Amino acid sequence: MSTNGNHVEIRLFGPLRATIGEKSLSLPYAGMMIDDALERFADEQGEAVRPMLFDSQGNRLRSIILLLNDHTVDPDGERLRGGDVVTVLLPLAGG
Amino acid sequence: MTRFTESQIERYSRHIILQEVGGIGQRKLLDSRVLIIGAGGLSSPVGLYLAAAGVGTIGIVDSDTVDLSNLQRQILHTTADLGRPKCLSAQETMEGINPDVSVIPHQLRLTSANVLDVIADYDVVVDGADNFPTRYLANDACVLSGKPLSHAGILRFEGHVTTILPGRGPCYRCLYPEPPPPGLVPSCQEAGILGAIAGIIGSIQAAEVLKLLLGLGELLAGRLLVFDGLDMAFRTIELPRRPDCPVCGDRPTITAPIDYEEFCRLRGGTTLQSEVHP
Repeated sequence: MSTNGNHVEIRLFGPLRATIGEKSLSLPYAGMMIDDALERFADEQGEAVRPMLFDSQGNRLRSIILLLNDHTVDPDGERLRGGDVVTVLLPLAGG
Repeated sequence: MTRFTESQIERYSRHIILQEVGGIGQRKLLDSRVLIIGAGGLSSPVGLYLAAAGVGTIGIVDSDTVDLSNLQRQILHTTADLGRPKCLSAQETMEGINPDVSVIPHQLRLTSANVLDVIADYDVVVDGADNFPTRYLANDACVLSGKPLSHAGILRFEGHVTTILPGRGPCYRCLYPEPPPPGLVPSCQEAGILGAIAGIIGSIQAAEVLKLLLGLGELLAGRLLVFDGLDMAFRTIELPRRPDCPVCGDRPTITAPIDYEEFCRLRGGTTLQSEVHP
């Protein structure tokens, strides 16, 4: 996790990790609402990532689990602070 | 209660010696009926351990035949089984491990039309499927029937596992209310899977089923275990039941099994690719 007070750790698993090629990223998202941060993350990570997180209307997909510091995110949204950990989980199909 | 034979006492001695299991627990296992959906990577360790443990009746559902690319992880099958129906190969392997076990092969694909009938005769269901349509169908059928369900999924070096107890915790749709858009979440065929990951996660499913049948310990109900095989790390995430869940919520809108395609049409007309079989 970054020691930079403006940074938030984004932990990646499954298909997102495979696509981005990183286990986690430290990004300067402190102060942003979590949904806005996820929007910016999708914009910054390239065309393959956005459809994993948002539908064509820009709504966050209901097929992902979004966690802030290992807890589910308040539906009304939460503002990120430096050092926060955001985890994005997608379901795994394989068996 | 039927008495154990001398052979059974020896076979199950490491269970019986456990105070938490004992002869009564072993008898419970012998009288139990578990259905395993799929005969692949996850289902292999589940089937092997449940058979070895003496779960008396094990159903196994799979419509596929054994392929060479399966054998890197699907340890219910051998090279000699290539081309055979997986559920028959699995039956032979499991009954070979333990003659106390009766394996019922269901060589079919689960659909909204047959799923309730198939699961009806079992106490617990194990989701070892390899595709989202079957996962949602199994979840809905188990919630509607009030049957416990062990769910797991794997990809590359990772695995997820949880135990669904209808009415007592979240279901699969509480975790993921809608399936991901087709093609966005790759299959093991597309993205790969380290074979031993299936062994680790399937073994956790087997342990959860045995605990459930024996009434032991704390199950993964309301908790998703996330395994990262590269870091060799487990994380447990607590997840709540959703009051607005379409199948187990306060006002359910899914009151009978529906196929994935139908569900996707209901949520907004998504065009689907055909089902994938990793």
